[in-house]
Amino acid sequence: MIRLIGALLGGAVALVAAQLVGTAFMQGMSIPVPGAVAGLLLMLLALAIAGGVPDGLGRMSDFLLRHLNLFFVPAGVGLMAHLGLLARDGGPLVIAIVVSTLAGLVVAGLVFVWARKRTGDVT
Amino acid sequence: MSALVWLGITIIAYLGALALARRVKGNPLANPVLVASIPVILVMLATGTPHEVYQKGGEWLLLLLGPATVALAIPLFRNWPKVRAAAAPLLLAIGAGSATAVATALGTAWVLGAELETLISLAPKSVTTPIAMGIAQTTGGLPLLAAAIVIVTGIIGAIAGPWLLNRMGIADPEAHGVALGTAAHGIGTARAFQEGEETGTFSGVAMGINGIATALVLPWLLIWLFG
Repeated sequence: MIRLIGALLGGAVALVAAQLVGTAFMQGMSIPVPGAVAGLLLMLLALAIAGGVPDGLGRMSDFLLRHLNLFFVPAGVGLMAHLGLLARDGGPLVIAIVVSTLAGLVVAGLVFVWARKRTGDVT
Repeated sequence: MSALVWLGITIIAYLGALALARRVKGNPLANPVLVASIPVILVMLATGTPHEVYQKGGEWLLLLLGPATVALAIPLFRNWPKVRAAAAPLLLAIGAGSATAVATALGTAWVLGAELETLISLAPKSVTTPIAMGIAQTTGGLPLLAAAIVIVTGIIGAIAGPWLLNRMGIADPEAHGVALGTAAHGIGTARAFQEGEETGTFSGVAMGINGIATALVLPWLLIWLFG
């Protein structure tokens, strides 16, 4: 039990550390890539070098990703609190959001399936 | 103290939304972000709490988005051979989907007569909140409006995406992932992980690549378009 908690904490520390280093690096180089994305790449590199995922890190990541929606709830609350913002150009805005989201989704899906067939990679 | 209370209320609302989603067998209509936000807003209204006060508690959860983004590296590493094998189709699909979203968003809103600031705030709608707000800021849009548009985009994509793709005859889990991650960022990716780890991984990859590419390219495009 204590070992599991220790491993999970270690995983959490590794995730936060990767983000902090990524943020510092991107700010130092003044590249407009968010620190968390840089941290993702850093973590991927570290895993490739280590050749595997430590148990605690794996469990911690699975937990965070299973509850990814939770971290967006404050943004959802913020949206409803500032609903007036969407009233600005309300109709055109809502139509544009719906149309473009669905169009982007379908095009991405169709192009992926099409390109996969062309590259002859059928899995 | 009150920050902790609002944090607790948010988590309880989220657990309730999860229970509801399970009851309706993961029906995309029961989107946890949407469902969990409603009771929180109702409590805020009932107690007359301004959004700034709520946000002191809510910020704690937003803070966790960073480590959660880094955590995407783990399923990506586990599924690396599959992602590598699909690298070219993946990049093509992300590019096409992302460009389509920007073009149709600007085109539709422009035809319908939206103002310039609204147009600029719409452009970065497919990427996660911090990137979209940054782009809106540097190009003369409204960061808060951009953030609101991003969230609506994510919820719409997560709710309608899987259904629409199935209707179009696209059933491949990897294609679902690419589409959700490209068009509906983190909220789409959360939905993709509900469908399975492979779908979630491809969604995470698409979200990350689209986020980086959009942050690098879109500001220049907007400056060129609108001066």
